[in-house]
Amino acid sequence: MKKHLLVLSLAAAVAFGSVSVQAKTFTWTASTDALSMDPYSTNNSFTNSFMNNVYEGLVRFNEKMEIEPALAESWQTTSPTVWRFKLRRNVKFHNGEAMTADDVVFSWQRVQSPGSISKLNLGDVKDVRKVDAFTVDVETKAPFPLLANELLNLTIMSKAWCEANNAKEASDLKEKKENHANRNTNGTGPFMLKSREIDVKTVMVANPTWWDKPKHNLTEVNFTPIKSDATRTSSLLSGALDATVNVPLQDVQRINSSGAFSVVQGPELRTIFLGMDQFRDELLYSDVKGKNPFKDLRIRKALYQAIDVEGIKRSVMRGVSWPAGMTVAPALNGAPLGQNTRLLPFNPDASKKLLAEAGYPDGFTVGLQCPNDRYVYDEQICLAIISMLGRVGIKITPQIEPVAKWNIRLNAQDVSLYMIGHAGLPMADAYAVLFDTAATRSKTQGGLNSGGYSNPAFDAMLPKIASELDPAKRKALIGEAVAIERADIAYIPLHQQPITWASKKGVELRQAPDNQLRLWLVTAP
Amino acid sequence: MGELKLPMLRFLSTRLWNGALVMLGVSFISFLLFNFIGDPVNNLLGETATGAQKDAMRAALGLDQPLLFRFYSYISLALQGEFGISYRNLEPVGRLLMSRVPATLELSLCAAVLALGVGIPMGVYAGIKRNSWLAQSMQVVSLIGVSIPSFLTGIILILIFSVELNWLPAYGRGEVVKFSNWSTGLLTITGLKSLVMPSITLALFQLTLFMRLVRSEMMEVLRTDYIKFARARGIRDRSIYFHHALKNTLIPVITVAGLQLGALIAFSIITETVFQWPGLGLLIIQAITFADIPVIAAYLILIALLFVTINAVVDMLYFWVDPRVRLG
Repeated sequence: MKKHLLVLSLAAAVAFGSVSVQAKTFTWTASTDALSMDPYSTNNSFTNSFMNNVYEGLVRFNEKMEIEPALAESWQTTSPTVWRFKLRRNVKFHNGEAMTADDVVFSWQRVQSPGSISKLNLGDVKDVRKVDAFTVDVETKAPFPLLANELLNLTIMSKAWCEANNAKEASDLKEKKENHANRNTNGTGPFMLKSREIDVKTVMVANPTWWDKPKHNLTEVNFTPIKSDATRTSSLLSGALDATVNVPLQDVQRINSSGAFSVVQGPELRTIFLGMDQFRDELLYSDVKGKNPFKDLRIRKALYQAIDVEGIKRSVMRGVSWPAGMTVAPALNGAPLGQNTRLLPFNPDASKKLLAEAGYPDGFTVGLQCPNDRYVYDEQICLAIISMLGRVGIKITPQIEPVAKWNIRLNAQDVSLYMIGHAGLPMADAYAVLFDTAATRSKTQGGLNSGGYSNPAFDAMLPKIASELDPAKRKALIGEAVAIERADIAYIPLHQQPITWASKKGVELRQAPDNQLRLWLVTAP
Repeated sequence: MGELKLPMLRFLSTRLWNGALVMLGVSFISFLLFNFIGDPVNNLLGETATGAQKDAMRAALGLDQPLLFRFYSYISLALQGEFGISYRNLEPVGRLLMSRVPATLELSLCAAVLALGVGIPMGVYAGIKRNSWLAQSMQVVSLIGVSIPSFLTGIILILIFSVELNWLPAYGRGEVVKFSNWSTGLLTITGLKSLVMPSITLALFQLTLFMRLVRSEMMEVLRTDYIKFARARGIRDRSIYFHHALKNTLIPVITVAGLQLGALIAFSIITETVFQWPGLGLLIIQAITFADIPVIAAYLILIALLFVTINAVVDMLYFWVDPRVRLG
């Protein structure tokens, strides 16, 4: 009897075992390559999302953008500025060595090295200290409620491996020296780097000793960047690829009607809005001399009411955009959902009346600065806006430029009316949007506030939000701050733009609003 | 050949000196242009970084220093073979460029062979049998070939042979065989398949150009006195066309071919972008978009070197082909 049971269970094991050991190669593409395999040497969102499949941090986002434990099992605050993280015990690096607190402390030191760019995103952390082999203390400079989100930027590298390979410091652009970690990896993540050829192919294989239970069924992952939009779509349709994460909107219908492929679309965390020069005394690129019309709230209201975001959604975005009432996307942590409605209705007549009231019955001329390769359909949106504003008498001189040039304008505040966007990443929190776009611009804040919007009442809210530990109170404070800048029409919000991915039918990509492909959640048929 | 040794040496040394001047001039002009291509700092740090962080990065990269100083330090390092590392992917620039050269050279040579190997015979035929229907239709096709932009040709080929028929891959080089510093796709099936469409796309314009050039040159030469006398003497047609006439039509063709080969290599940008061909063209496009200054500077110097070398080689070929040319 026992012998029969044994044979039966062996047979069952063989049957189930053979079903799960099917090699599954997944080939995917995007428009750019990951910039570097060294997780600390760039601050590029695509590279970060790519490397999150190889390196992990103490915490991670799931596809619903919720923080969940990763290399840390649990954490709690032991004082307003000190958080104690208990590390997971059975974690191994890809080369077989165990991960301990020494690696976490080493990673913190490495991220502070001169060449590291990731340290920009860890500005609130003061120190990381070892308590014992599987416990670390993270100290913040001031009470900081979002430490877990910020620690997403600290992926853990192996101390022994970095020291053995002369990679104790991050690749440094200033020293003009490259680094072993630029092309080789040793992480803890669900996939291991097998080979890397820049702009050609990057191959990863599944990590058999990963600490988490894989929800994916992939054994090998091939990534090839394809820069040309048309080639990328054609390659997908020819069957050479399983998935693509950059689909131009005009190809959506073609892919959907092909029968063998499907498109996945959803709102991105990135909100697109129009900024206005609100600090100069005389507006640039304009025929108005001696004054700046955008300093007058009535003019900003007039512009707001002249722009039809539903019309843009319908005719420019092919029906796929999410009209916004504020610069903060509703999916961001702390976003005041009640304020995501249009402040003023679309009404060109009311707009003309406001302009006349403010002293411009015949409108005026002004330049509109737009990028043409940064946001989804950015140039087309600007062209639509030009005609909408033209209807109420505001004649626009288009200044549409590639990103490299438009960036210079933003940095130098060489703007009059301009298009800009912000995704609240990498922390996926509303505070980042407010701090970067609406705080009074200085060397240490308002990095994206090229129009120079400034309201002391708004500025006063920011430190309160930064240090408020209670989530409900924090959300209320964020709501107050958003209300101030929304009433001021600091920006004219347009919409959240779509993320458009496509894949062979049956492939589950688990798209999240931060536009990251989490390979450990992907299943292929 | 012996009596040409001294003039040859003089020729080469003049060329070397001119070439060095050209390269210095090109690098200086490109440094002047860098003020206008954009700021890499936002691409490196993210556009949301604070003003202080951006200033620090600019200072670290040396972008805030005066132009002449930057040019001087760049040239002095370049002469030692140090071209810095790419802002985009942190790879040493020299190694990065050298790793892309095989892909571009292979594609350009295949396109050149195609353009010359098909274009010249077509041109000869169209020149000799001017009024045949085949020659007339070649004229029409060549007009189309000259007018269609290369990215359109590429996309059309991809749609037909990749999406519809699934015969050829739409992107990449396929499997390449690597040995020492070189990599070639000519030794594998997927490599050869991947070469077909990009070569045709790149060659099409040159092919029609050579066809029309050879045709008009052929028609010109066939009207000359010495051809008439050869015919009167009774020399066979085939000998006239391919031994006497063709050699003389080749002078302008060699000049054009030399210039065009340089252009093929330098401007395979569009074809490489369409087919994601990992060569110099794709690299420079990505570098320009990113404002990756070290790569752009090194690329421009490399291309200048290439044009200087090709022109020198073309000039030397004149001796071999046309006995009437002297060094002067």
